[in-house]
Amino acid sequence: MEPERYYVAAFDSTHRALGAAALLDEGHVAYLTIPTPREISAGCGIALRCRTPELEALRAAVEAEGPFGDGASLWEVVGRDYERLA
Amino acid sequence: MILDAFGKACPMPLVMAKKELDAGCTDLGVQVDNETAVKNLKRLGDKSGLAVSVDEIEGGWLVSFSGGAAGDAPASAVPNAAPTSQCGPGGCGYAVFVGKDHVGEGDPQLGYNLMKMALYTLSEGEQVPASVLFMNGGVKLVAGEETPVVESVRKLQERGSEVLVCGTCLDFYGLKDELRVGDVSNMYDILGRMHEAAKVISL
Repeated sequence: MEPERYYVAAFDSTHRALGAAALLDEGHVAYLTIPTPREISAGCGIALRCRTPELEALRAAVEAEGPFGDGASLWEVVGRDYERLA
Repeated sequence: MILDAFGKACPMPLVMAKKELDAGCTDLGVQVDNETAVKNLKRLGDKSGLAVSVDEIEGGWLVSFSGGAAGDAPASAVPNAAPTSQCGPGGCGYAVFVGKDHVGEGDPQLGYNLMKMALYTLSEGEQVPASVLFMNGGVKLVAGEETPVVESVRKLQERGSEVLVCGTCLDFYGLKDELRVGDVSNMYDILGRMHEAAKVISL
């Protein structure tokens, strides 16, 4: 069985995480609010998780609150492997 | 014995049936006119170790209990019973009570997201709860159009948690026909699961 593949956005600010989550809610985008995985170093304990079809919506919602690299990061997770995308 | 519970709202049909079963009656029929009562009565029969059959009758259903002795349910008859390894002097496993759609007091948006995270974390944890119990505002998390925790709660179910949702609360919020995950339940079953658990965590 292939390992599960999904994407995680992590944040340094709770307000930014909640702002991105609100945008996804408004757009009726399927995502999960999760505790920031231990494998990711981030200042905020809230992270957003989605599947491949929702990746671009997640990316857009995060960028609407500020650029990646400046307090936010995007990760591809396959099984137990984390690869930073932005 | 046949009980006429037509026109009686939940949980009255259950109360009437339970009273007779507790008195030792094991050959009982209950006439009801709503599906919630049918589901609750079926669950009561299963828990009591009785055979349950449902027949459509004019204006509703006849739920019949037969066989066995009420109150002598084998452990296997209790759905999703916690493994005996999780049993202590006070009960088995743990129950999670979700009485609102947010965690704690303070900012509602933060509390709402914390609730989503909490249920996700439970679904990913090593030991899932024996039961997850939704009441009052908590039912809005699993019924209606915006159901952000359905995936996590389904995972909990798949891993063995029993998910019970207050039918009275669904009715109050107009969500009776929009339940996305879990079984419509009642105060008896929900408090029963709390009583059976070694501990209850309230979110």
